Parts: sequence; C-alpha cells; structure tokens
Amino acid sequence: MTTILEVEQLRTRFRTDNGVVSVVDGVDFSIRAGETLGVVGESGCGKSVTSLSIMRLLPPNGNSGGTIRFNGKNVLELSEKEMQSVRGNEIAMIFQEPMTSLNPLHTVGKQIEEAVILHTGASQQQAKERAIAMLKAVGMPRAEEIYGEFPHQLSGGMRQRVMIAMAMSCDPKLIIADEPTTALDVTIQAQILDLMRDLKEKTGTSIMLITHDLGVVAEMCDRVIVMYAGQVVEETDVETLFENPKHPYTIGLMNSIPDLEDEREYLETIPGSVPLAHQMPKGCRFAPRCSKVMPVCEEKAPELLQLEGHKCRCWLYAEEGEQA
Amino acid sequence: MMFVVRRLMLTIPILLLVSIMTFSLIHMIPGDPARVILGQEATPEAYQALRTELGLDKPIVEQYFSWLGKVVQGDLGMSITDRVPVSELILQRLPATVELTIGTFIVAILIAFPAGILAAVRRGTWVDYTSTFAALGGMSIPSFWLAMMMIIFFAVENQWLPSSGYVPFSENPAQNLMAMILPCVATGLRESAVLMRMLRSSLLDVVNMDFIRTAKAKGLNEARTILGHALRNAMVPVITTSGLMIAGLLGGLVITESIFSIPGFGRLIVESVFKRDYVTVQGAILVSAILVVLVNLVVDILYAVIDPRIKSGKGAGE
Repeated sequence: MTTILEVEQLRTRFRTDNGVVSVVDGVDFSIRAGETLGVVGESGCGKSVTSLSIMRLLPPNGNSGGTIRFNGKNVLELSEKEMQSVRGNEIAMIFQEPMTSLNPLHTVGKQIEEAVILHTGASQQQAKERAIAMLKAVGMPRAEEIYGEFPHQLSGGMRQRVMIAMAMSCDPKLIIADEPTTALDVTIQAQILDLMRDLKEKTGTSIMLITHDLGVVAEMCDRVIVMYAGQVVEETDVETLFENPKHPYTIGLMNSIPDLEDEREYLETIPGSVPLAHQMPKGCRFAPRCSKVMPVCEEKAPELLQLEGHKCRCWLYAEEGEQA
Repeated sequence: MMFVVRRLMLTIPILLLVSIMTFSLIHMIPGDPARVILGQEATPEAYQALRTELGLDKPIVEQYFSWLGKVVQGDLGMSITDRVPVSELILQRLPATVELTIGTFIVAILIAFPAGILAAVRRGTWVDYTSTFAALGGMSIPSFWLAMMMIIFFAVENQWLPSSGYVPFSENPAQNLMAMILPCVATGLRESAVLMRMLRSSLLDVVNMDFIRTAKAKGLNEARTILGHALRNAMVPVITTSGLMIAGLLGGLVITESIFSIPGFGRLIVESVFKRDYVTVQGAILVSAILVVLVNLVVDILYAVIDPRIKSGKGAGE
C-alpha cells in the first residue's frame, strides 16, 4: 500500500503570554492509502492541533515545523494559494461540533456546493446535482428538500451527515475527522460511524480519526497512535493495542473503560491531568502520573522505541527495544 | 410573510401609545395652554377663540379622539404662529432632512465597511491601529467643528463646494446634490466611526466561530471566507446600530442643518419650540416618532431577511 501522508518531526508552537509553547513536539506518523488511523489521547494532548497543522488552519499565533508530506509534496512549504486547492479537495475535514460547524445563514445545499464549484469548476446545476447525490449518499431522507433547508432545521446527527457529505463531495484522498461523534447521542454515534465506514469502503479514502473514545477506535481503525502531551507515546495496529498495550498511559486508558463483566465498583482513573505546555516535566512527560515510574523517568526523556509490532516511548522497554 | 404581518400588527399599539403621549403634550404645559400660547395681554375674545380652535372646551377624551381622527387623515392642525397647516410645514421641511440622513448614512457605510472589515481581518496590525485611531478621532471630534473646518477648506479657501444654497432636489438636482456633499460628509464621518467599531468587533466575534474554520477547510480563500461567510453573520448588530443612527439623525440634525443653512426638520422643531408653536411641535414630534417606529420595523424585517432563524422564532444563539 502506498503511503499517502507522512508526518515527520512535526513541531507546532504557539506564541502566548507565557512565551512560546510547543503543543506538538516531534510527532511522526504516516497514513497509507485506504487506511484508517486512530489518534487517541486525552483533551489537551495535541490531537486537534496536529490535524489543524496538517490543514494549515492554525490560529495566527501558531506555527509548524518539520515535514508533512502529502502525496509527495511538503504541505508546510506550499503557498497559501496552493494550500487552498488542497483543502476541501484532497484533504477534507470533519469537525467535532456539527451544531456550530455549519454556517447558520446558508442553506445546506449551498454549503455543499461551494466546495464542488470551487474545486471541480462544476456549473451551478452540476454542483446542485452533486450536492443532492452526496446528501443521498450519506443516508439523508428527502435529500431534495434538505438541500434547500437551513442547518437549524436539522438535528445534530443530520448536521453531521451534512458535514460528511460536504467533506466527501470532492472525493478527497484523506479525511481528517476530529472527534466526529463526540457531540452526538450514542445511537446516532453508531450510525455516523457505520456511515463513515461504508463510505470509506466505497471510495477507498484514507481517514485520520481523532478521538478519545477507545470504543470508536476498536470499531473503526486499522492502526492507532496514542498521543500524550504533544508526543506519540505508542503506535501499533488496533488488535495489538487492545491485546497487548505497552505504554503505562495506554494501559491506564484501557483500564478506564467500563466493563460489564467486571465487578469493579469504581472505574479506574489516571490521577492528575496532562501537564500544561509551558510546564513540561524534564524527563518523561507522563512520569508524574505514571504508576510504574522509575528514577530514570524523572531525569531523562525516553525516545520512541521500536518493539515487536509496536512503537513505544517508555523506559520500561529500554532493554528490548531499539530507537525507532 | 407571516413574520412581517405579525411585526406590522405590533406597531399598532406602539403608534397608539405614541399618539396619546404627543396629544398629552399640549396639556402638560403648566396653566392653561391657550393663555400660555397667547400671553397675558390677549383679549378675552382671542383667548376664547383659541380655546375653541384647540378644542380645550371639550372633555379630554373627546378632544383626543377628535384630534386622532384628524391626524389619521393627515390634519395636524394649524400652526399658531404661521397660520398654515402643520402638515404642510412638515412636508416642506422633511425632504431635506431625509436626504441628509440618507447621504450621511451612505457616507458612513462607504467608510465603515472597508475600514471595519480590514481592521478585523488584519487585527493587531498597523491597518487595525490606524483605523481604530481614526475612528476614535472621528467619534471625539464634534461634528459642528468638523463642518466648519470643511466649510473653511472646501468652500472658503478653495471654493470647490458650496457651503450653503440648498434648493429642493425637484427644482435643481445638480445644485441640490452639490450643496449636500459637505453636510453629508461632515456628519457621515462621525457616524462611520461608530459603525466601523461595531462592524469590527462583531466580525471579530464571528471569525472565531467554528463555521468559519469549516469554510476555510473547504479551501475558500480569505476574501471569500470573510465576504461570503463572516460578514452576513456579523450584520445583526450593525443593522441595529444603523437603525438607531438613522432614527437619531431624522430628528437630530439641527446643528448640521443650521451650519449649512438647510431648512430641515430638526430646525423646524427647534424653531417651533422657541416660537411656542405647540401645535407644530406636537405634529413634528408625532411625525418623528412615527419615523422611528417605521425605521425599527424595517430593522426587524431586515433581521429576518438576514437570519432565517429569526423568522422561525429560534434565537440567533441556537
């Protein structure tokens, strides 16, 4: 399989009142054609910033370094104009909040058409047909009517379908979905995930799925990277992740999933929270919260190690792994 | 359409209330209105005649309804000092003020939109600081001072534009427009500052919203994102401010009208107050209140045109 996106040593910094802070710090990963890559981690670990860096949609005080190779070209070196022809066309994005991610003053149809006309040069009539076809493809009943409706007339799940229709409308090679189901009811979540999987199988597009929900990962992903405090701490395929998680953070995440067969009275949690970007510990960034912390962890930051079927950033595996 | 009808119905009680308040005006004068109007030296005959003309000899409720009946037919009574119908006086004076208001508003928009959009889009750069500085200047400079400076520069020193010489548009359109340039710019500059600040802050709120990120993620360039997606969403506060501005201008252009010798509506009100022409004051206030109600009606309809959520009764924050 060909690699479609290759991120190397991505560093994204923000100028803030506390000085320059690195929110994403040396992230490496790649996505192959047709693959779904899960990006997992708590709030504030840099998942969304990573995706916005790929789209070059960071707020004005943000700035990325490293390379993001998409289809052979380094996205970070493209001009803004070249980048505009990538966005929505080759890489499309689905956001977390379907309630606020659509323009309240434009009809659903107009918002889908816009990208089609922009990128394919279609006529108004062709774009309209495409928009209605996309609405049907995402399972919208009465697509012709919804074409002329406004976002406030639709439910959250319907709006997210519109977002997906919009993202798929130009046949992108990669879709970045940033927590696409987090804001939805559980039953609707399952529908949206089914829809995304179906569309992926039909079109062969790759998906980068950002989520904090390991259930979503199990259902959707081929491979997973686990992020913590702006770094990749573990990378592996989805079966290995669930059968044999290595990094104490990943293990902590697994233990915090409720299990019906288990007779635990309380859910396990990981104590503490992700360190703030301008107060990173000197050694391992997870050390202050880690149950298996060793003296070396607080002194020296671990490298990402190559283990069998795994990449893992932890001193526990220093003996068996070599630097990735 | 239902929305417009509903909104129109709502203006009826407002207008009735306005009419009661304007009607009461003449009865709020301390003492007997006829005595106050005529002064102490008036003959008893003249006093009685005025009382009859004003209808003061009838019960107050009857007075109100007979006054309202005439008002509805466009009869606002006779001016006490000029002995001409008040409606005629108002119709003579209103067009100049309406023209001045429209001109002022156009000047304000022509400056406020480009400046406000640029200041918001280039936030924190010299463009933003310059326009903010200019706007603060525009708001703090009194418009009469600006008007006089413009007269000195454009009319006295250089004779590029006339400083006075208003003629009705129907008589001589070219001369009318020439005479309107300086007054419209003088008041428009100041009003543009208010609108520009409002547009800038409203746009800054909107550009941080999620759907703007969606628009950019579609591949739209900055101009299309701002003009196609952000601007319309930023319009509601700007329209509110514009409505208040226009309503204020229609009755409050006295200074500009005086400086540029324009026989306008604002001056009519002030002149009538000084002449104790209460009937004219009453009529002018009624007309100006109706204008304010109409402007607000237009503002509300514009809200609904811009934001489909308002028609369906859902709030803009939905």
